[in-house]
Amino acid sequence: MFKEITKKDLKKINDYLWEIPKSFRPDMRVPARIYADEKLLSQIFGDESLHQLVNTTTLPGIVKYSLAMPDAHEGYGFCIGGVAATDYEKGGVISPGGVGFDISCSVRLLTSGFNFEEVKPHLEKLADELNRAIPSGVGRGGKIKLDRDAMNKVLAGGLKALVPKGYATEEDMAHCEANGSLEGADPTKVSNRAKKRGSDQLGTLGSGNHFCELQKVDKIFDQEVATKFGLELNQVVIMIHTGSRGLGHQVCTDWLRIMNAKIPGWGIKLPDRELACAPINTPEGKGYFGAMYAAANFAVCNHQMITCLVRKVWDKIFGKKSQGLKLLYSIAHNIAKIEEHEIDGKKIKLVVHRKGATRAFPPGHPELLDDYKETGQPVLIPGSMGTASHVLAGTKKGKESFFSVCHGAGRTMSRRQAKRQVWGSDLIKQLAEKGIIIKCSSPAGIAEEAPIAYKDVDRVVEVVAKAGLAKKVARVIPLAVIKGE
Amino acid sequence: MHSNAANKKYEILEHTADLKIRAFGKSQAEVFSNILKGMFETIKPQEVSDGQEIVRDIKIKSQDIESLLVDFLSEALYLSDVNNEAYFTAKFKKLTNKELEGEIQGIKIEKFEKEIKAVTWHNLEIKKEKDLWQATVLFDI
Repeated sequence: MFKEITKKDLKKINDYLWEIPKSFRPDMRVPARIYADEKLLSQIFGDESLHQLVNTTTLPGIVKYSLAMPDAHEGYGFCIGGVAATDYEKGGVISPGGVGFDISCSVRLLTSGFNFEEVKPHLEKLADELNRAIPSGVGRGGKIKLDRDAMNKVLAGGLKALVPKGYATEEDMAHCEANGSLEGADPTKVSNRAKKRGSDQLGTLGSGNHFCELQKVDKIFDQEVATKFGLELNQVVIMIHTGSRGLGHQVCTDWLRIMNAKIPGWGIKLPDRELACAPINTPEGKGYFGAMYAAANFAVCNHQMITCLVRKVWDKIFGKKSQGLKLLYSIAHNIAKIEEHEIDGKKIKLVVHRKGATRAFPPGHPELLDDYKETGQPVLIPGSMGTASHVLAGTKKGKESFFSVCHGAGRTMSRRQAKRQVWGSDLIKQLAEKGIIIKCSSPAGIAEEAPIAYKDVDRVVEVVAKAGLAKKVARVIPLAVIKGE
Repeated sequence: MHSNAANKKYEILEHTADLKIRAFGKSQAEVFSNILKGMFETIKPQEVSDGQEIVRDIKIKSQDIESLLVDFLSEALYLSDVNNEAYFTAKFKKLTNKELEGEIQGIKIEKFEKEIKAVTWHNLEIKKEKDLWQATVLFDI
């Protein structure tokens, strides 16, 4: 359908950065850039990601270049692992397709006061109880029901709505991106349908690659920063990966429909209808922005309610010795944010889309929480099931990627192909041999998430670090993977 | 052993991360109904025991046939999510390029094994070749 892209079309900028020049296709407004080494690049060539990357360079108001991270793979509209920034003041657009249906799909990391040896005797029981306590919510919702008033408070205030009820602490808020409460969220732009879908989904994991994982720190790369993050070797930590559930999915569906009907009137021509967008300064642009931020507030509350369930189980198992679980950080990887960036020596306001990409602010950035002003922002990169995950910190050189990095390992094989190659039950056995417990009600779902279906997360993170976009702080490995009942 | 497009209701195509379904039908109504079936069968619903057949009325207006297909499937997904149901057939009283009116039929479910997040517009295709309709849709999962 689109002009074929071969390696000859790529200009090598350095060992970890490649460029498709603006001259490649007449509708490109800026070049496209890919962060990858030779091996990851060859994997990226294996699907449609580069066409999707080139398509995003056609968005009105795009600045500098459209970017693909080393975990890039084919998505819909944008490639996953894609970053695109548009000029807020000069006709820049906001695109729901640049955020995705799982608005504010996020990762958070909780740290415990225990090391692996202390947790080991309780591991099986912990995994069991966590799996029973955390609903997947797929097809049947969760245990919490929100009425209209409670829903609007969650959408408008994020964690601010949960603090008075005792579900979140001030300390939790202080360790979330934007204090767990995005300003500019507008619940009136979220349809009643979206609210209805979300009304019983707070505190549910969802399915696919979402998880709650018990992990241990197995490598420290930067001792000083790790200490400031509260991480030490052999410590047990808990990672949660989920998003805004049906509420977010419906918000995206609703606004794509609204924008698709308006596009011809704005004179915007797009190579893919999934890239539907609106100039940020139109009622539709502002409307989607308010609804998307509201969905992001819902997502952080979803994470927080799961955190409450995790803390309850933790305290039950460890009793008086528990010491609780501290939130290290909570960060989204499917979102568009309005941020100020320096472009060619001038500070300008941008709409930065990160779709399967993680923000990574450098030390000293004004938006950073006090605890992380010196270290740079914690960046949480979940690996594929049964493999390592990483904690990184933002750097000044990240400026070249609008302070963005990868979001995970990135798929390289379809779910169907993975299921043909791997039996869920065999995989559970293989992981058990490595000492990893899997709690899941669907073995077929497990096969789809098999590590062979993903790129090597260590390699992906290495490219990010070598390119200087973030620095490696610590690596964690899984002890138990919980997919929820 | 032979299988061809004329007697197959739908098939699953390759995509790195999501779910791509191509459905077939002798009419627009049949291809709409078959893609609905493909969508719900793929996420493996677990039926509520002694559940009765569920019927939901639907009425949609869209700007073109592609939008109508996306809106139809999105409507079914919404109804499924809020009512905990799965649908396998659609019957239409009215069906044009821009408008439909009819009902979808299915069952009450306990849960799904997998979850479809949404119906995407990416590489969406609906066409009639000779006497066979064909629709290809990518679902975000």
